[in-house]
Amino acid sequence: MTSAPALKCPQCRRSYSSVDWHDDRSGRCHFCLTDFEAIRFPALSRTKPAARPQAVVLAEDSTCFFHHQNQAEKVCDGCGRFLCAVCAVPSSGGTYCPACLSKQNERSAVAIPSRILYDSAALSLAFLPLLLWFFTLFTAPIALGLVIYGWNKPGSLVNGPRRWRLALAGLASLAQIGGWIFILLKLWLR
Amino acid sequence: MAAKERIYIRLSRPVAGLASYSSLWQGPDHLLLATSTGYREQYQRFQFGDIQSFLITPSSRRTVWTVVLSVLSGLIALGTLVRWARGGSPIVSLVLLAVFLVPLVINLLRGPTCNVTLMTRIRTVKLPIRRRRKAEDVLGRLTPLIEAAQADLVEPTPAAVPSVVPPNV
Repeated sequence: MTSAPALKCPQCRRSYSSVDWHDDRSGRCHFCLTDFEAIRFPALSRTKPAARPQAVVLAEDSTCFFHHQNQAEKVCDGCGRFLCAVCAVPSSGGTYCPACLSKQNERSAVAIPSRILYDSAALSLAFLPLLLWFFTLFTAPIALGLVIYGWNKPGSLVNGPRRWRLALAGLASLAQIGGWIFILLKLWLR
Repeated sequence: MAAKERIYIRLSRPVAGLASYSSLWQGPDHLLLATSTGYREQYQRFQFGDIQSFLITPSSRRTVWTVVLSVLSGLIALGTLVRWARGGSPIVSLVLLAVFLVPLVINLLRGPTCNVTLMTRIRTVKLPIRRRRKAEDVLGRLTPLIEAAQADLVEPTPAAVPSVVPPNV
């Protein structure tokens, strides 16, 4: 029997107790009777070693750029500044100071919180209003605008920019706009 | 630039939610949960070093779909037989039967369903994995990466507690 008080049943949100476990991998919650299988990792019981900066002892000691009272232990891979244990942040296989990390995150794909999908929006606006065709008078120009505006935008982080969708939406909206021009001209010339 | 940005490997196909759909992706040092409404995609990242556990619980989704699709297929099959017995053409009914029978077979072939929950120290998230077989495949792939990322973790040391001075008696 294994105890793992940190694990909570996803069904009833109560912590599993030692009686819930059949072996170290599986068991049954005795509150909601849900069977479960747990794959546990060291982070459940262990933590990252705490960064403890060393105070400057000798006048010749190199000091941290951000904390003059701390000894420098690492060098930033971005700007080359000396860093103490508190300021040296390991990231993407290197060590960076908080300022460089912030700049890196602005450019990096691994820190983007969300993206607007212009391709999906344009495609929906180009095709869905065909069900109520009169609306295409308004939606086709908007779809075309989205195609033009979104053409150079980055698109989905995971699927990439799907330009064929934008192209399809552009063609459909151009056809709709052409159709409306034809109808309106015909009405005007009658 | 766009091709350079694609650093994620797909782990699961999109699973529909209430008004959105989610998919799971493997990054260089983290897991990415992408939730899309169709117009906007939002990303949640879970560093391999922060993942505490995965919990797999069985779900009744497969049984429910099997029952629903079987009942519908049975009713249509009955209707087809009656129509055929009366001399009518059963083609339309057979097409309709296939519409329900094919998903039923696929549902049975894909195996048992489950829910997979990811736990970190501060949050618990349900992952878009619905089938047991897929869960084993994905977690089997992630486990060595997570264990490697957590190789340097240490046992927590108790925080320094200020010594309690007994009151003077």
